[in-house]
Amino acid sequence: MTMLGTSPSVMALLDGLRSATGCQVAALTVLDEVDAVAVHDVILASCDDSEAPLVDTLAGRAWTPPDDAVSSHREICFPVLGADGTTIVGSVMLLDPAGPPPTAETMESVRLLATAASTAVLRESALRERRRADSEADPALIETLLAVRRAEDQVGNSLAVVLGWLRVMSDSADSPSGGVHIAIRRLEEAQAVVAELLRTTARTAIDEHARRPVSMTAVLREAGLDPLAPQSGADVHVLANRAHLVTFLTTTSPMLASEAVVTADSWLVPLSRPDQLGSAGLLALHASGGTLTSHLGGQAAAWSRTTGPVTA
Amino acid sequence: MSATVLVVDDDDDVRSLVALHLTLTGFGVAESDTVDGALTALAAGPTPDLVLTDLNFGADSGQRLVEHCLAIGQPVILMTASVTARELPSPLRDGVAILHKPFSLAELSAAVSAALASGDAP
Repeated sequence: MTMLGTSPSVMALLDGLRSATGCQVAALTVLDEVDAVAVHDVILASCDDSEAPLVDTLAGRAWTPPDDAVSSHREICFPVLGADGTTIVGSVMLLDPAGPPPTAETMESVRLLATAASTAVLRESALRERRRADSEADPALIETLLAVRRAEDQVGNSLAVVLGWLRVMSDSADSPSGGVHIAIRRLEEAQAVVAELLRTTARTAIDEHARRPVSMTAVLREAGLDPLAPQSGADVHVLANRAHLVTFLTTTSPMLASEAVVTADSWLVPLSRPDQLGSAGLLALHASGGTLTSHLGGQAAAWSRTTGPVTA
Repeated sequence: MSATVLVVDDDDDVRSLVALHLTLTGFGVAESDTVDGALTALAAGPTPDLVLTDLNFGADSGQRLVEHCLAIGQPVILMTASVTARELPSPLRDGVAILHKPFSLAELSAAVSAALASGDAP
């Protein structure tokens, strides 16, 4: 297992990103299209002050799962931390393209757990937004917070039931009949909740991004980095078909924990098209805690047109 | 004599599953699907060794039950998917164990064992 500690290059990158954007929060997770994501390259290091590794992936095991982990694919997963910097509020699993094909059940688990992670990050963002000042809080974001909470509870209940019954049935041949039917029903309910949550949060994310856009291309360029290539020393880069999709910024520092992900422009653009909302493959929320710097103004203008690709 | 747990959740599937697992692992289990029902059961006795309660009960809140348990020294675990410890009022945050949904049965067992093993448990 390879554990990468804090490196100067990572800290420099984070500092550059922070300096370039004034951004406190940039969150995204892959949702509907998680099954299409292939991890071709992951470069990872923890960024907390203690130098304790937070995650490492692909080269080894990201996070030692509990004994009754829902699936073997958890070895390629990493936690999403809450604002306290220590509580794991969710997890995201990425599938190794070199690994065995995932089962349908595994993919459902991936989808739901990724959603759980995204909602947790979204909630953190919304809570932070609310704390800033009531007068500045975006009502739509707060309403989304409430919707997320309701959905989290519903999905949490459903997943607890699904995982629990799978365990009961696995452990005992004499387990009560009907468990599998209950598990299937609850899984379907969770899927419906997630689908509705996707629509709600995607719309909020679009509005939020239009209000305070953060462009990965612009950010990386401002940081003096090549936006077209994975950055050596950055946290986690995810590529699909060799296209750079997202960069996960992971940290255990309370000050940095909310900086979850910066996404490539090409993935944000589809979200701006109302006709594609129903099939939106990702959720993006950018709740900037600082003032956007003027050099991102071009990006903001490009984004607000919402009709074509953003060009930096 | 086995320890007893009062399981309080308005989600029938969750409550039944938790109760089944605890029963299979040797606990005595009582169930309630409402906060008021749980409060009535606590008042009527016998007092369980542990209360395991959901937070969201539609218009009602498990916080009311948790506050009552803390007031009478009743060990309690809060099951929730939507609240982290730091979001709770400080008296609750300091006094209640939280079991985050979705939890596994192993996590459930561990949380129950830890709560019963704590100094508050009989």
